[in-house]
Amino acid sequence: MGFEYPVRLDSIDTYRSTRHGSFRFLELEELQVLDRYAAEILNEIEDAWPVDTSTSRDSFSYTLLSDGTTGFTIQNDCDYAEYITEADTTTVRDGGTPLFDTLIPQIVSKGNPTVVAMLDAMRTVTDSVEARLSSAPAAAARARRPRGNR
Amino acid sequence: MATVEAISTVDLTTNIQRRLSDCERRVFRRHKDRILLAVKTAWTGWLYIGRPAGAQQNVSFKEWYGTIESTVGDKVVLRIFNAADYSSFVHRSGSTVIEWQRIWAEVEAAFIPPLAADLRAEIIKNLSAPVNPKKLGPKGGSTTIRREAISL
Repeated sequence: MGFEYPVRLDSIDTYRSTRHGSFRFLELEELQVLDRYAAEILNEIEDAWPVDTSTSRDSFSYTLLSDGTTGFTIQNDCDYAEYITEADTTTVRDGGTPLFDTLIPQIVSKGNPTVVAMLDAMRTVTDSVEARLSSAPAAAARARRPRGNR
Repeated sequence: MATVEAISTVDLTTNIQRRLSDCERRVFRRHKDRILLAVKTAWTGWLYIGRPAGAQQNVSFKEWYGTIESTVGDKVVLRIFNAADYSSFVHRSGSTVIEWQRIWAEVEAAFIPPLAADLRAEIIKNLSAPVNPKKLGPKGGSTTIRREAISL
């Protein structure tokens, strides 16, 4: 019941692999940035969702992708959410398009300033994580260097 | 399954007999986002001793999510979940205290009273606005539809 709509930031995965030189999982700072924007995008979807009782709108949530790639899944577990259509349009049973199939791609698009900001922020945080990771081995080596008897 | 499901029901005692209006719900949602962020922020700092370098970390961090129930304006419900099937067993090294319970106790004490106060204030502000009472429709059943991912 309901629906699940994954959003994959493939361009960020490519950027991270290129910067790192190989695949690596997301670090906590990157997850936190992604999480903040996923929440913001979900709120935009909720604001555009038609409301009568608010049951289906209250059933929206998101989780971050757990397969090592960058992205999140927008889900709605309301048992009739997939049948909701734009007002005065054909019902899903009669071949109409479910609202989530038009609304979510419309909001999660590169024309949305929030999405653009998310992609920018993800690249920025990737850069800062890479800077930290590349300086970490040097710092660890300094810490291991024997002291005294100079 | 040992997932986390933390529920907080806030009785607003406002007797409005309707769902929350959009602006009231936004107040509720803002608090939900804050609470979820507080839980996620507290769910960090794991040591990962013995885990190979480069292995995935923060797995259960990704599984936190929250929902709000605003269909009955007098009693609003906040639900915070963690879908990782071991999340309800997680505890800090050297401690027997279940981590989500510790976090939830702190978060509830710190965040629920301001949530209730802000929401009550917003409801009182909107009391004079005309709103039709809504009833829930009958529930049906179907399978979850899974779409192909949007690629950005």
